[in-house]
Amino acid sequence: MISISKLLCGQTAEGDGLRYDDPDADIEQIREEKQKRPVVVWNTTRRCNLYCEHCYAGADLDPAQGELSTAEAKGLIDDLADYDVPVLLFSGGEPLVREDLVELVDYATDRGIRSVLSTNGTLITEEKAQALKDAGLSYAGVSVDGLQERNDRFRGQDGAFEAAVRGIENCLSVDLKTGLRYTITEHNAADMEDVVDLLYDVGVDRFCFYHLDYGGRGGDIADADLDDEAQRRAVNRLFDMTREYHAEGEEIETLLVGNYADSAYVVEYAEKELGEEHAEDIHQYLRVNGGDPTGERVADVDYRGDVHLTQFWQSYSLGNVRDRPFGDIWDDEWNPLLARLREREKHLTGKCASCQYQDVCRGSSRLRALAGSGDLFGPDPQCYLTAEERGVSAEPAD
Amino acid sequence: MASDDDPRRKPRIDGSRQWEIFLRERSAEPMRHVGSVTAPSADIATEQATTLFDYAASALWLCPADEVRRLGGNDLAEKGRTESTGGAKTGVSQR
Ligand code: SF4
Repeated sequence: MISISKLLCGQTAEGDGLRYDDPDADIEQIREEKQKRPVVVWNTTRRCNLYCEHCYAGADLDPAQGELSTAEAKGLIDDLADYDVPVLLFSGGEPLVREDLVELVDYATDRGIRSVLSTNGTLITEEKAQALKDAGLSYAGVSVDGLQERNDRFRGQDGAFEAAVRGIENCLSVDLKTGLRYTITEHNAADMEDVVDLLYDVGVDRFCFYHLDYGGRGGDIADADLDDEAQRRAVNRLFDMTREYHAEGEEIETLLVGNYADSAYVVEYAEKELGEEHAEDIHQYLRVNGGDPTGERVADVDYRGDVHLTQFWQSYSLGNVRDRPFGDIWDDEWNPLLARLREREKHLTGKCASCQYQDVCRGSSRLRALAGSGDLFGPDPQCYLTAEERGVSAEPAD
Repeated sequence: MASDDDPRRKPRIDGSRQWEIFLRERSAEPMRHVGSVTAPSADIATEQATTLFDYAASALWLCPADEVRRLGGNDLAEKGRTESTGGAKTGVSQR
């Protein structure tokens, strides 16, 4: 997660310095020190009341076998607290279909874990928002993926857009910090700005933009991912828009998630628009931040307890929390895949191996690299940097 | 938990099968568990496991997760129940 508003406009968001990196937790990533424990995304359920095209969890309405019970979920939260996990992101499926959600948020808060929520927003009544807030929920990230027509098509249900906006309003009405989650694809890139304008009017001031990763149904629509030029346009537009809002005194928070080539690109942008010194400050800040967090600063536990390297990479599991406590699984670097991912700089091949921005990107998504070339340490096909920007004279033959 | 009710033996997403992966780096070493892959067929599971671990393995074994009888483990429910009633935590359950 790269905080564009902070890097380009110097915005200090609420909780800066206390927040942690997480590509999905909708919380600030930029810190002065490297984060030691992962933020954990927990897919509390596989059930969902919607059927989104890009869902990495492959969620649907059918009840899934093996979901953690309330008591088991509390046991998991105990294990996470014992391991000093700083943040637990309640995700899904749609976490609000779990009847014990408020109880579990309350339990995590009691155990000293910061609770945040990732939701489609459509089930958040004012009462539910109040109960979540009272239980200690710090933040709700609500997914909207376009203006009404496009969002509803994408989410597989008429009225989903209006219901999500109502959910956002209900959160804001009880003073629960709420932000947008928006997955950028070829289909909805054009709506991005209008959605920000519309939700800003509703009262939202935090906007997280996700690049598509190729897990779950996201893999089925990989063709809808933006090409290099379209990515550059969308990211540039986000940079410009953030600065325009700030220039008007409207301090929106904007974040980019899921493609760490953005870290490189924001340095390049700053060099052109804000000068060498500002660009170097940003570069230095991002060096601390550490690029793609897969297998290190972010972890995923799915609805049946399988631990994944990121929430998008559901096809491989390190182990199951019903077999071993989360911390034992996460610390087991005898697993050669985990060990190699944590020292990936030594193994990156192709254009990532010689890139001058490797220190702030770390090769970006290993899952997309696998999907693209079958090579775990090959280049991320969604890296849109030119050879010149990467600091090499010509494209390598990969 | 050794019965057919063990949730760890149930199919994962969309009925795809989960395959536990075991790896030996050198012939003098024991096989060790290195996680699992979920795939629609044994061939695809094999391909995935090979991509992820071939460089490190002198031998790789795959076993359907639903064929594994697991005794003991991390009894989350017991932990959660103990904690929620305010008692001391029990730690890892007995094997
Ligand atoms: S070439 Fe690789 S390391 Fe460099 S910006 Fe692109 S994805 Fe990141």
